[in-house]
Amino acid sequence: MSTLQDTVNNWFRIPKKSWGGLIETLFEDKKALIGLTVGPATLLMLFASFLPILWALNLGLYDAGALSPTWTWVGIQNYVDVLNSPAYWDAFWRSLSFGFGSVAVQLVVGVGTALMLSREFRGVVLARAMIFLPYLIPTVVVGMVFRLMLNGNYGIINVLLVDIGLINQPIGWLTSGAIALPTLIVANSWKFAIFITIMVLARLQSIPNEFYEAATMNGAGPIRKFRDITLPQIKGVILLTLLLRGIWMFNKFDIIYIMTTGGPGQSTTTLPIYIFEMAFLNFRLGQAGAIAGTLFGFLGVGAIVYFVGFNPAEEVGR
Amino acid sequence: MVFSDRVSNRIQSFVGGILPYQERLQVRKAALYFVVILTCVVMMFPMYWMLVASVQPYDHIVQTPTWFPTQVIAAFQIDAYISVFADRNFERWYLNSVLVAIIAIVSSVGASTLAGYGLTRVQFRGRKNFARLILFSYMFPPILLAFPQYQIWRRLGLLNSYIGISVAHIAISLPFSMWMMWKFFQTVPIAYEEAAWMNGASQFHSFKDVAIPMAKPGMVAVAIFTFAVSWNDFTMATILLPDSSMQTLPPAVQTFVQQNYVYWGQIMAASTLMSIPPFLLVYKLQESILEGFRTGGL
Repeated sequence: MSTLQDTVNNWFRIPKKSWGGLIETLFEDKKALIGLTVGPATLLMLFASFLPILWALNLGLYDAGALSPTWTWVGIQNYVDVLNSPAYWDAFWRSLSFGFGSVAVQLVVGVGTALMLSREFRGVVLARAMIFLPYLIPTVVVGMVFRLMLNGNYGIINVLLVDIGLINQPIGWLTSGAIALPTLIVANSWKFAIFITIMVLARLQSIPNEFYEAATMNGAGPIRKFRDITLPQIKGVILLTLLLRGIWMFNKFDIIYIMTTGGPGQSTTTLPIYIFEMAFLNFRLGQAGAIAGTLFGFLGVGAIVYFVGFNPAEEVGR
Repeated sequence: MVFSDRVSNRIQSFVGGILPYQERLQVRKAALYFVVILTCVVMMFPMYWMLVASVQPYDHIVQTPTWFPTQVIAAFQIDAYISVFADRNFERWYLNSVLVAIIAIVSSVGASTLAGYGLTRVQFRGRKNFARLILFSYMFPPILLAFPQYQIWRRLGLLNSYIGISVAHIAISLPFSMWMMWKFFQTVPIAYEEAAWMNGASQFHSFKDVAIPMAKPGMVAVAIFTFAVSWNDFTMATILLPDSSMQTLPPAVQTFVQQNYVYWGQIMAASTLMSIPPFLLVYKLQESILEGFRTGGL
């Protein structure tokens, strides 16, 4: 009798246990611990990131319009159409030049600023705060302020350039097809060069001072110190940011959309803008899915370079 | 001696020949300050221009501007600030942005802290592939996610909802956050937790009272990063929040631009108000930002 009563009591005792107790028992079990810790993040990523990607890839294989409720299977026809359309390749090359141009400008400005800020001087905290600020300023603010400053009629940049005599009459920075894209690259870099600065500065600060002292003792000049100590130390982070920034800038949507909406004409329509127009203005979802698929392909190529070249998972010790 | 050394020594001895050591130091310092100030001016000028335009009447903004706009002092007005609240739904958009950022920060910090702990403290197979997958998803650009998310969210009724947009922001911020916390927990010695177990603490107890407090700097960095992503996001909010009353600030400000009239004053006033939280953050927490990126190691 007593054993039966104990069993029954035990049954009833389990629900009585507090939530904390339940979690404690779960934490002791290895499998449950994995599920509890890695689970939430994995579920979030599956739902928010991997499911949409798969959806887009799948959508690319159908003829789907926003107005027609049914999807028709067309296989790779969308991809064939997209890859044969000159508009796609124009957008592709614009994306590429926007990406390369942005990364080049950002790298030079970003690394230079990081080297400058790694020095100790009075007011360095304030200078850092001022220089970091653009990175946290929302892109829409950056885009709007630059639109005002670059306006062909009343922009301050034109006033400045006319005043110091570089140009004779105002330039429509964002309204003339030939210079709209380079202008976008500069405005974009104003904000995002700081990302590279933060990355490189963080790395620079972890270089032990002894390295430089030893080099000075051995008679190395500043150029030699830079080449043989600083550069090897920051090379990894520079290559990494080059690749990651390149991918992100290639896929940049917001600042281009805010500043030019792909215009004037088609002169700043990069691939992300092209997807947006295809999906939300032309309502050709299948085509948009196929373009997204090709973007995903480029990402994959970037990822292969990244994993083969840097083996980032190797760093995951323990 | 290498060529570059010879060159730099030559330059040094040349300069040194002209100036004594003390003055050379001063010249170098002055040059550094000059470059720093120049960079700060270039970086801050757009912000300055934004402030100037936000307190000017429209007519002054669209006239040919002058460097130091003296007419601003004469024509100083805060009409633009008043009208973003009076004529537009600005407080609602601000509230939306703040709520979305809070949801995204809480979930991102929570999920990434747990994941970082699990990945460093429990051995299981496939961790390397897991790391690769995280880093791969880190590369997904917003437009690639937002376009299919729109289709899926519409079916699930998540368009125009705080949850829907927050989840979209988490998709962007979580991979890097997870990576940062993973790296961060590797720098936290497991010995402290072992000491806690020796003293009879359970695994959960040691997690809650030993590991979490030590992971705080990493969590702060993740929170800042997620805030930056959420506060900044334009692409996803434009696509996933078509309803004006649910919009966050970035797409809402974009609507101030109309076919034949740009409300510059209101745009710049709204921009100024949007820039205040990032400014406070960057000034107060720059050490944590650097700390997080340092251990994040990317």
